[in-house]
Amino acid sequence: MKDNQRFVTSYWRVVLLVARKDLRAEIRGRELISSMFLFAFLAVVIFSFALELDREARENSVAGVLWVTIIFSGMLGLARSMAVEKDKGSLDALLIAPVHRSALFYGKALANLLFTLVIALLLMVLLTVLFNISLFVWQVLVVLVLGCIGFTVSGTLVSSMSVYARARETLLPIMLLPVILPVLISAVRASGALLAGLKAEDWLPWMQLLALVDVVFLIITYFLFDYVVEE
Amino acid sequence: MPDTLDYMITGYALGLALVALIIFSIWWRYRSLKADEAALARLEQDIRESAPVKTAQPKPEPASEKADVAEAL
Amino acid sequence: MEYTENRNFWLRVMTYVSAFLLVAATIMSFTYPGAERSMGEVQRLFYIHLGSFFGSFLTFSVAVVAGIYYLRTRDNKWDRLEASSVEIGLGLSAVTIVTGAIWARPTWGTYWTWDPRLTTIAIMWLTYAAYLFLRSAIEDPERKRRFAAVYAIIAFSSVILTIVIIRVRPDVIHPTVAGPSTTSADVRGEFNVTPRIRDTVFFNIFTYCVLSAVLTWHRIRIENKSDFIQERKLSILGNM
Repeated sequence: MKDNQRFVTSYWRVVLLVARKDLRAEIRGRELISSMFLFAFLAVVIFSFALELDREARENSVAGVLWVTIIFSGMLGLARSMAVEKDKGSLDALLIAPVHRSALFYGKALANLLFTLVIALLLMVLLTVLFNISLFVWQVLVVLVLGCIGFTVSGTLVSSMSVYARARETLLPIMLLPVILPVLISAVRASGALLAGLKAEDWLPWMQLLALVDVVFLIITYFLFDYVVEE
Repeated sequence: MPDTLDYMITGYALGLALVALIIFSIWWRYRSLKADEAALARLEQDIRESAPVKTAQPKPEPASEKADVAEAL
Repeated sequence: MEYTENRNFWLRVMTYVSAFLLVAATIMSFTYPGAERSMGEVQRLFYIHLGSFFGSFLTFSVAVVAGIYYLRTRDNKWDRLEASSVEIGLGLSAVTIVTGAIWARPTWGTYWTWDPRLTTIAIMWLTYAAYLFLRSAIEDPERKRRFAAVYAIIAFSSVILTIVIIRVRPDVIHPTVAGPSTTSADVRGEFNVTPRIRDTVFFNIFTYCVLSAVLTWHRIRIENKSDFIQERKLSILGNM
């Protein structure tokens, strides 16, 4: 009983340790968040030029713009954080720790989730100002969190594979985008329906699908991460 | 009953053409592997024949010969 | 690894059997069931469409099982099976998509719509294309096999999504042949399944499953042969 309890606490401690390591490095350097945010800002500006949005078009497309921007800038962050990890080899010390490997994975995913959420919230403020549409509905925030969980969990796994490839910058989007399309589609549909003020039956199924995909990703990655970081 | 025969013919033609493409690509790769194998067999034959000569003459520029073989492969 | 005479013999027999089945199934789709009343002749595309989909479904299922076995046993034969079946499945699902698009043109009036079913099958195809890209992008062979197996397991979720979505989404316009569905029949271009149509559908599904298995076998043989040749090349270079 006691052993078991110690294992549990150390598991979560490793998760928090890994996440805190990333956050501390980020607070010191601030290069990840700032580059992700600049990219997101540029993307929003480009979207509004390219689509030549009037009031009505903005209302229809704001959910799509929001999610596509989150995912592209999130991908930028994922690639960066994993490349740093691999080049510095800072996870190697933790790999020999007597704890399930998935703890490292969830720690890494937690840090990535926090970064993506910060970007997503900043982006919502930005879109609220630039598009003049209030995005701050509490259900949209729920969708935002669910979508970011699905994206970062699968993204952390895929990017920890793609860093080993010859062309890692191109491989990550090619591998990750088809995997997260279910997340993207259901998040866009759910938040689009919410912002248009539709009834619950229009957005609730999408939100349920999103939660289901999240759970599936969390379970699959728990079993698969061991094989990715074997050596 | 609408006349949709053209679509059916196009559909089957394209679908079966794709199947044929898969078969062709497998056949093509198998054929080129067979050619590779034949070339390899010839090479092994050559090496076996020239081996006694090689031991008689100590080291006839091994580096360049290795490069030649590598190129032939 | 060199194939034994016995193995080559069985592969040849299976190749002839599947070629015969393919010809028979195609002739059967043209002649056995009558033309459908509301759609006309184009409805016959349905047989190759469903057949090739089940063929690719079989290969993708084999790939995920092979991926799991590879991760457990680290035996390279599972990796070869996995890579070969993904490749064949990708080809067969391209057949599904193309025939579906051509069927949709006279039935729905457009080659492609962003119907959930069509979207999910496009995702499925792209995921497996990414799988092949992953294999070609990682140099270390052991790591490549390991990552490919992991990705094959993740990618199978897109196959499950493709099959499940048609039964749960209310706005699907794709026809459901068997099992429950939530939309009414007339918007989807559905038809009455007569016994003759049903027999032809089953025969086509059977044919394409056999075909995909035989093609995968051929593909594995190529992989084996190229490994074998690679070994011989290395041994020649090593002996010099």
